[in-house]
Amino acid sequence: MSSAGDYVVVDRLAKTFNPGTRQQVEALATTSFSVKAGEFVSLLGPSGCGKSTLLMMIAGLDAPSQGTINVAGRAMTSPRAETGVMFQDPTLLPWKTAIANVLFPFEAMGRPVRPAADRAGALLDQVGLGGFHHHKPRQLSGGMRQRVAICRTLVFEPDLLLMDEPFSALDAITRDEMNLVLMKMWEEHHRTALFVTHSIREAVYLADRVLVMSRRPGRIIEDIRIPFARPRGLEIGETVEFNEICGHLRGKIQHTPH
Amino acid sequence: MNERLRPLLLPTAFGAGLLLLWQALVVVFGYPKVILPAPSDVLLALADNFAVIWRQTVPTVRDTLAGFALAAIFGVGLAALLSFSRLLRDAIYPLIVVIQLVPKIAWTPLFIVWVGIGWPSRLTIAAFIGFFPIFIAMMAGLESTDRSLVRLCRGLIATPWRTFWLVRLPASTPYLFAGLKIAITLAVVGVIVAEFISSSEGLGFLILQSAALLRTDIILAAITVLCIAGLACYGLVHAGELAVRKWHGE
Amino acid sequence: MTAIGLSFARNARPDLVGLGRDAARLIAPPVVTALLLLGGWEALSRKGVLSARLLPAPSKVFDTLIRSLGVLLEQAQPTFWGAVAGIFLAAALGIALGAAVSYSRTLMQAVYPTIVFFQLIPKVALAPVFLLWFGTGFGANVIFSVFIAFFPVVVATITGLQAAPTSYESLCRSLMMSRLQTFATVKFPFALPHIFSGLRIGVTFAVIGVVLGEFITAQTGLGYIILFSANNFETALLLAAILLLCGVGGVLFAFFLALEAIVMRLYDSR
Repeated sequence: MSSAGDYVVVDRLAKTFNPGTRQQVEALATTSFSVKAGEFVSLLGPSGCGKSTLLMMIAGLDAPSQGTINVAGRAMTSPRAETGVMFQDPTLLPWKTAIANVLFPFEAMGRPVRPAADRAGALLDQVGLGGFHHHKPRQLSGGMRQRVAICRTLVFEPDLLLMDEPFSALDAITRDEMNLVLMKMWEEHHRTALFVTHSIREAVYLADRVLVMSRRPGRIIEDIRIPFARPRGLEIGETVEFNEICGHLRGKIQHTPH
Repeated sequence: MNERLRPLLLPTAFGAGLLLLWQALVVVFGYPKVILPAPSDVLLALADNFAVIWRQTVPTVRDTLAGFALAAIFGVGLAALLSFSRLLRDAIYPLIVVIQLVPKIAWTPLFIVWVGIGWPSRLTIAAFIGFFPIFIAMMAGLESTDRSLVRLCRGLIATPWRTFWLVRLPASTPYLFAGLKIAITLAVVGVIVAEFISSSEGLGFLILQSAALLRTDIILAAITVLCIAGLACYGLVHAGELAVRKWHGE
Repeated sequence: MTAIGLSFARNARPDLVGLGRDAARLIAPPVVTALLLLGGWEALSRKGVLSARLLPAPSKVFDTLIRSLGVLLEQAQPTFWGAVAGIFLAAALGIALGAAVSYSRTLMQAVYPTIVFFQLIPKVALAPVFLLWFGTGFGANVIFSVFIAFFPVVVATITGLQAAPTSYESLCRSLMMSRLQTFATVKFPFALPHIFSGLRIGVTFAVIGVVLGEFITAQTGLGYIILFSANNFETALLLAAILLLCGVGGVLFAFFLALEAIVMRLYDSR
């Protein structure tokens, strides 16, 4: 049920891979939800529950078997220039420097690069890569590469951010740092964001709202608001309220029927 | 023995040992110079006939490099073209793989019939032989571009041309150079064979002529120069590969 | 009822329809393209657009092939058997030398660069030298063919013998196995895929060696026929000879593919 202010509307979406063959897999059962403009929503669920598939469809990179997706009032049938997507793999071009990688979206879309050069540099400074503008990816650590990827996603000022487990491949300490970096960047413009993760703590820490998905075939089984004020420091992770919410979510995930 | 020097000293010693053995065999057993000239004879022949040998080296190297360049242009070009259309690729790629099963040397007389003797046929056969490894390597490179990079381009709504030019082409340069190295080696072979069959210039011609005159020492001298020239060409391509690898961020 | 029965049958048996469809999708485009090209070639030749001297029509080539089949097959014999002798000798010598060199690290460091050097130089340039040494007979062609095919086999053998992960060698050492036992039970099986890859390259080179020898000595064999028809502008005969040469190469190549399949099945290294 959509209402005014809904930026992303997912209506009775379902996805089956290889339908009609022996390799048929029902990845996503009928799912509906909506996201308001400026909301940060976490999509939480166990491996294989279809959350990445769902994100790919909202990004226009995969087609649903059933149902519709609307972003900013228009139906999604193919990728959209104003949506920024981040993946688990930073996917940097190994032969380009950090700043050239950040400016890559302009090249790819055939838009002039020069006007955005300053913004790209400023973004890299903001994420703490001030002296690394001209380093190549092989000279950067995994966390640093993801920071470059964040800058690349933000440089053309998308109105919708879709992130598919971007920090899952990093170690726990770097992951916490990256969460802070992401929060800092997000709070500048409060862009609508959908963040896929299988880490309960990460989901709760980052979001205004958490959607929990069941095991495959995935469907939404819980939709809760996160009450903490912003900006949030990492220390809220130690509060009782935070851990109660995490416990509640863990129970939901563990007790879903197959 | 010092671990770092071993890989350098041992083969050098072995090679030097072979040369000394060769020299000793000829001197001690007195092989006729026609059959097996000693290394010293070869060096002498090289010094005496350097002008002649050099004059014949030029067309061989020139045709090799020109043929190689043509092979690179066509190889990369066709691979690039096929990478844009699944249908074209499925239709044409298998045909090329099948054609290359024929020993390409055997085509040389056909090319001579088609383009005449002299540098046209030498150029053509070098380009023909060099084309296949370059084409196949380039196809492999374009096909194996990291899927996540291609998906990134899709998400950024990059046109097929921009995806090719900005991502798939740069990503395949390591594969391309592997093919280029094979191609340059084969191009030399092609030119030499063409010169053997019918030519009036080039190192192959000189070798054949010296064989008729029973001057084995000149043959070996010419072959030495050919090896050096061949290795130099290969070295050029290899240097290019190292530069590209550095740029590519290995 | 029928729908249920059909879906049951589809799940019970291998997806033959799907398999057939995949095979067709793989083979159809190139075959269709080849037929179109042949058809176009024939049509252009008949119209006189293509010079009959430079590029006779496929029908003429086929015709010539049938008419001269006797001669062609007769001349294919020395080429075929020359290549066979060449690759088998090259294989035996190459694998033996490769194994010997791999025996000790010192030997390897000393000898391998020389082998690579010979691999890189244009060995075909030495053909006239072989001519001087061994004359112009069948044997000379075989020797030259062995010389050319030998090096890829050696390099492949050496590379292959280094392919076994060191953990296997450690295992053998801990089991007190002799070097010969280690070689036979571990190193050699791991080397086989590489060796066969080298043999496939060697086959191509062996054929090239024989044909090149025939080009230079110009007395018998398919190489001689090719040269002869080129000199006399008998292009149809030339193309027919090349076609037959494909056959020769193809048969040898297929033999080694089959051999590889059998041997790999024996060792079951899948």
